[in-house]
Amino acid sequence: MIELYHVAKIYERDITALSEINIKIRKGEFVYITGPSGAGKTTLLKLLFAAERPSAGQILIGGKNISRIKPREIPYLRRQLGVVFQDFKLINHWTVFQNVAFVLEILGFPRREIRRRVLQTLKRVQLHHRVESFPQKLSGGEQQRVAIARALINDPKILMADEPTGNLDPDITQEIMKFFLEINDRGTTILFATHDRSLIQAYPKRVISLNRGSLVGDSEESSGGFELGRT
Amino acid sequence: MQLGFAFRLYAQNFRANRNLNFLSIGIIAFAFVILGLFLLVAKNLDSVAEKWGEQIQVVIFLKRDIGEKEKKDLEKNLKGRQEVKGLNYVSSEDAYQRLKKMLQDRSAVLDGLERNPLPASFEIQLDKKYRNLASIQRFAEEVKKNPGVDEVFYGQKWLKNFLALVRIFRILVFAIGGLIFLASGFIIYNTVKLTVYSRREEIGIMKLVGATDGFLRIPFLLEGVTQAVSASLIAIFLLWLTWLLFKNFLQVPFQLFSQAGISFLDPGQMLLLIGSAAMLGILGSMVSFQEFLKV
Repeated sequence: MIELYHVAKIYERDITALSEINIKIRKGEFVYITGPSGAGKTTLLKLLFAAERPSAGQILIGGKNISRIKPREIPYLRRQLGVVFQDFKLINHWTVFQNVAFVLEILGFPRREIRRRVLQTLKRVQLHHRVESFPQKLSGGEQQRVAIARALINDPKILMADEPTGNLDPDITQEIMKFFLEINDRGTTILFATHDRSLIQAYPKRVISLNRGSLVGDSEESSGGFELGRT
Repeated sequence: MQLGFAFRLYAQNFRANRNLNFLSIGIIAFAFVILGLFLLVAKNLDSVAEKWGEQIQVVIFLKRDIGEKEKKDLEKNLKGRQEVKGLNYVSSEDAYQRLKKMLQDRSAVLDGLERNPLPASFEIQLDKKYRNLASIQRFAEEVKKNPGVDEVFYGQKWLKNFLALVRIFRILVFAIGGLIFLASGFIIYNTVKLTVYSRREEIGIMKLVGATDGFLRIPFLLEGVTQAVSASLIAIFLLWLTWLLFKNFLQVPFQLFSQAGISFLDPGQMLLLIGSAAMLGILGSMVSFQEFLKV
């Protein structure tokens, strides 16, 4: 589903954010990307949803090479992905409904269909009673659920999350985590970036560890998963 | 591309950012008022120059012994020339009566004359295109060659000064007007940019969930155009009010210089103002959109 070969990202002034990253993620997997801050977790995700371009290497998503993706193709790539951020990235002057519906609006769904799917998805994240609320009237956990609903509405094959629980209380974190596990159970591939070790211990899954831009561990490989040709 | 949704998004954005929008419209309207005021002043001063220009006339004095047929031929010849817009024959007797009238109660001085010394003449109004020194000189030279013509008079010295003055005035209008136009363009561009800048986060979010640039551009283009065009309409209205207010005060001193009244911008000029507003709105939002869109 997701393949990275010798991927590197060097920002200007020779700041190496990532180097020599080789990862294969299969369809339906749940993968943690972990490491201290500055390890390159966010950069890795940004490469995957084409907010950044790799300086070297190849990235394939669903067989399509996105390392050299044309700018006008990026929106179409993103429509197949769901992304959730630590700071939720909701539009504050839009209602919960409008925030979630936007994804379908730009795809040109009929309004009735949009309404049906938005309500259904909000029900899934237990927010159907806050449809007409504005994000700032909601708690952090609720806002993150809106963001998850938005990421899910178009049934993405891959859901990426960048520290989605970073701003949330432990109780709420559990709650959000359960949503991700449930989504994964339905077959969506999940990439979950976090530096929260306790979370990984509570819900053990494959863990990819980064440190200072290098891949320092992949639980899949050590447990005898597929091998990547190393140089 | 979802045009209907783009329009809804635009209406929604406009409502949500009411205050910023009104502020922007106010600033842009102010820039247009300055530009419009300048246009008004320039236009009216130009109409004075125009009126004065109409008074540029060439007087052709005829020889005393010119025959009736020669005179008719000359008149026909003059009427056929491109330079001539209007032609007025003043007979020797008419000229005498005019002089008499001008002298009023001192007209007794004329009684001492044995006969009317004034020659007959043609007074020529020139076409606008030929109201410049070179054309007038050429015209005078050519007319002078006619055997029936004694002398051609066109206020040589005065005309030179007047035309130079008009030319300086037009250059000034062009230069100052250009500067004001650039300045207001800059203000408008920056104000529209401010709107886009205040939304950069929102634009980033929309791009992250898969909105294309083409789609996102529409609401911003519409917003930029709405701001600039409504500001230009407000500015025209304000200018019109100002014009109404000052028209009566200024009418009298103004008429001293010309027979023309103070006029407002004509429909063409208003359309030009609104049109350039629309252009600036489009340009401003396009450029700033491009600048902030690197997500």
